[in-house]
Amino acid sequence: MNSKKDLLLPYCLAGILLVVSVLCYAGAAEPPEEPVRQMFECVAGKVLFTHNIHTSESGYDIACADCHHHPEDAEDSLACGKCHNLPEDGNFPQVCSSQACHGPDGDAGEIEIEVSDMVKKADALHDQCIGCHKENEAGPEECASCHVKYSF
Amino acid sequence: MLNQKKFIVSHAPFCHDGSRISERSYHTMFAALPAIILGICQYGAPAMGVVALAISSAMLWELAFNRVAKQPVSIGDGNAAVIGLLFGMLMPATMPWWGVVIGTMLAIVVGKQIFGGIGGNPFSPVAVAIAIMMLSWKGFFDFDEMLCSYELDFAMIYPLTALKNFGTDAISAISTGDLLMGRQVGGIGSTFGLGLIIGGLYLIIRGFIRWEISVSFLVGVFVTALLFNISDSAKYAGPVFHIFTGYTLVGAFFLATDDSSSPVNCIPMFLYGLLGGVMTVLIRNLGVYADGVIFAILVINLVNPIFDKIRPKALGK
Ligand code: HEC
Ligand code: HEC
Ligand code: HEC
Ligand code: HEC
Repeated sequence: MNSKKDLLLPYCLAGILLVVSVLCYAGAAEPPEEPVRQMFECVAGKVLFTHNIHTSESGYDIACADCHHHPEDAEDSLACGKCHNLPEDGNFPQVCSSQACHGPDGDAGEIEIEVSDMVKKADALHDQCIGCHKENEAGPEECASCHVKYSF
Repeated sequence: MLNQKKFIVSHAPFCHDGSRISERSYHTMFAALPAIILGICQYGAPAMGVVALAISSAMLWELAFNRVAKQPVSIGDGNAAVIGLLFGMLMPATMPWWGVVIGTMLAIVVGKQIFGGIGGNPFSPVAVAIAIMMLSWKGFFDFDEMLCSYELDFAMIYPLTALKNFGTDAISAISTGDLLMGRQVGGIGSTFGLGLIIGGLYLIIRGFIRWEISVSFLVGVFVTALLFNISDSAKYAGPVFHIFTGYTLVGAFFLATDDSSSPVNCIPMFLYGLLGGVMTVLIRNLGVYADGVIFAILVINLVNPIFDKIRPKALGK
């Protein structure tokens, strides 16, 4: 039963498939820079955000700047959390000063800002997402229509 | 009493029809191919990588176990490859490589070899592995999250979680035709309803699996889902939806029919399948998991020895 010949095929199969899988994994494309969909994880349950449908013309056709709002003439769209987080030490998030708009303490540079102007990420998202849905009377406003209870 | 008729058994040599375990294994893999090929077409190289790694790592775990336990090498029978393939079918295409390798280890070593290898496992090895993975790394089976970066030309929401969280309104856009043709989010080889049915029928016609189990499993799903649907059609989806989504078809044709963990007699087979179908829908509709197939199969595997007690009385007793 277990002659050399019987085992040749399985050994070859295992070897070839292993090589194929290594190639597939190694060649895997990076996820696109502009997200397709995004899954926010938080204590209240995950939130699936269809970035592609919100932005595409065939979808809700919303301009980038309506959400990626700051600074107004920004070319790249930063993640909200880059600015909307409040570092423990009371300093400004690093992006604010690295954009050469504000100094390290928020006062040097062109524009003065206060740390207290800044809302944290979850509040920023809630305000923006729900604000727009309310304004347009379209899109979810209830907690349970964004935050899912069962995720698998 | 001396000249009472007895059964007559001729003595050796017997003739062997030439079939082996390996034949069954290769036919099972062949039957699963249509569904897997569609998955690979949809999700591309990552899906190919997951399936290939699942098969090869399952075979290598088996080989490693053979070596450690000083057994004859048993990867020739193809059973390890089948387990790897079925495991790969249930994965999302973006499963990290270490998840696949750990999963096949759970299937081969914990699910099968600990119990003495092929024919000795009380549970379907694939179901054991998936269940452990589901409980250990929930995120892996959140298809919405895992397949976040894919943009295919159909509704990119996992039907079962959409249903469970938002009710039947959320799935109204998904037609039965879409589900049948694999135009739904899910595991690599578990979305193509038509392909799985063809594969299952092939195995049934060739006599590799028992129709009693598969059919009664699907009947169990259908009837239970229908009852729920009648009671509240805004919350509970119809029977056809339940049959063509999640792991139902893979479960009915490939997992529940695993030979050593399913009954041998006719009535037990019907009861076994039926209970599996009923449990699947109960877990989906009342439990905390969007898909109940894996846990339902473990439950029926568990009660299988009791079903096996229902058997014809021995003559003369
Ligand atoms: C409806 C609101 C909305 C619109 C419109 C929108 N985005 Fe976004 N975008 C987001 C949110 C929310 C995130 C997630 C940010 C996070 O993770 O903190 C994001 C993330 C991104 C990111 C990834 C940022 C990172 O570093 O992770 C890029 C790039 C991006 N968007 C580009 C765009 C472009 C280009 C457009 C216009 C075609 C656009 N977005 C339109 C809401 C929007
Ligand atoms: C480059 C830094 C930066 C990024 C990135 C950024 N914001 Fe802001 N955001 C600000 C600043 C500064 C303010 C306060 C001044 C203002 O209103 O412009 C603000 C204010 C807001 C407010 C108003 C808060 C309130 O209620 O007073 C909302 C809502 C908001 N941001 C949402 C978002 C969302 C959603 C994203 C991600 C898509 C995002 N922001 C990305 C800097 C940023
Ligand atoms: C500038 C306006 C705007 C913003 C900002 C916005 N949405 Fe929406 N959203 C819409 C519109 C318009 C719809 C369409 C609803 C419909 O057609 O029924 C929608 C629909 C949705 C839906 C349901 C349909 C789908 O595509 O899944 C979800 C979920 C959703 N939005 C989540 C979010 C989240 C999360 C955010 C914040 C990160 C957000 N939205 C920010 C305008 C917006
Ligand atoms: C439009 C969709 C949407 C709706 C409606 C919504 N949320 Fe959220 N929620 C989000 C998003 C997006 C986040 C950000 C997750 C993150 O921090 O990455 C969030 C975050 C949270 C968090 C985590 C806060 C933290 O500090 O980490 C809580 C708690 C929460 N939401 C509760 C609620 C409650 C309660 C309601 C109903 C009143 C609600 N949400 C409605 C989208 C929504």
